[in-house]
Amino acid sequence: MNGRALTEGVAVVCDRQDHAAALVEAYLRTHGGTDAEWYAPCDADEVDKAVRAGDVRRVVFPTLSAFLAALWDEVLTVEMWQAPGVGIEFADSECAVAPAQVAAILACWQHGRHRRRRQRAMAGLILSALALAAAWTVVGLAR
Amino acid sequence: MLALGLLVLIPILMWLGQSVALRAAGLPLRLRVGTADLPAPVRRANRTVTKVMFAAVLLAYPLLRGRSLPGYYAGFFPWGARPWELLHGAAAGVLYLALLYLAWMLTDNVRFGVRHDARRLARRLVGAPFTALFIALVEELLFRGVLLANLLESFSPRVALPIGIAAFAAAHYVRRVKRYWTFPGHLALGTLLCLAFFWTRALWLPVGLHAGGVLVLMAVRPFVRYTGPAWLVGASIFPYAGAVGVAALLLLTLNVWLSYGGAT
Repeated sequence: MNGRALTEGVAVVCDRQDHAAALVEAYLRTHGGTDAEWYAPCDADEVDKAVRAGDVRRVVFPTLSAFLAALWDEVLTVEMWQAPGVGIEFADSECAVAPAQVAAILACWQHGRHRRRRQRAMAGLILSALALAAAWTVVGLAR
Repeated sequence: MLALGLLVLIPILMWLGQSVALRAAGLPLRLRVGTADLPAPVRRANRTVTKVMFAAVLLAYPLLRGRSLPGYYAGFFPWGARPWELLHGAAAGVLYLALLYLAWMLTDNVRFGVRHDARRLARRLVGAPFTALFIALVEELLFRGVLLANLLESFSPRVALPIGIAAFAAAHYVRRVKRYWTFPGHLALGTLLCLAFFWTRALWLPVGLHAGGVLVLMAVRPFVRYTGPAWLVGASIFPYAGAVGVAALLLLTLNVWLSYGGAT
């Protein structure tokens, strides 16, 4: 995070070379935030850090699908993004997603994530036990 | 007790070094060593003092005991078939961690992806084996070759080993760190390395185990992102600090006991 983003509190998740960049720039001109800090989608975890630190209060995505991609990739700390005062906006006017719908998506995602994490942890535990058994046997036989 | 005294001096001198660097930078003194928000010159000074202190203890200890440096340290690296213990230990460390990462990747508890540009990645990967061996060698010489060896001269193994293990684990928390819940993992790691030294009376095996583990951590770090719960998979460079990691270290200790300890 640099000082600019700290003062503005606006972050954009979009590659500057992407065709959607012009759309985002136009959105920022009309909605404020022309000095926003830009992050490539692969650096969405950096935006998440800034949101968690309270440095960013508005995050602009070019489209709803760009936001959902970051969400599916589990780089966003959903609890923080659900906090009051954190705005998620979409530059594409055809998205027409209301803040309440975004909140519903986040809540639904959160619920599903808890379930998936439990399942993954259980699978991880079982497969870890098998991995340890294999490693123990091989190391034992190797001496 | 001489070794323990020398090791206790290290954090004290680290703090003094940091205080001098802070004063030189016109900043107030701090109680803890090495906070992340320190200015770069102070952090550099801290790193330098730490390295100098490690080297000073490694050099001073044998001399204070009236031994020559080669004479003292060469005793921990016997020849013949013993150097194979280094490879055995390294292979064991690599195998355990590699299989665990595979299990976690298959169950989506860690995700692999390239996180750095090609040049930085190549630099890190090429340097990893050398750094791993260097870290393992320095830490094993210090904590096993100096500290534990000295403790075993002064105390029974039942006393010396827990002190050696605790000192090794505690040393990782002298500086302010992000995570303190990793302490049991460091205790388990200390147990493995101290017992490997105790059972073999040499440093080949502990250096191999240590270097193998560090090698995997360094090689994997630029690619891995932890998505599973920390109690299961640990975090960052501490996969051995989760429940599975601690279990792995205990199992590996059992392996070492069966091969080199009381079972043989």
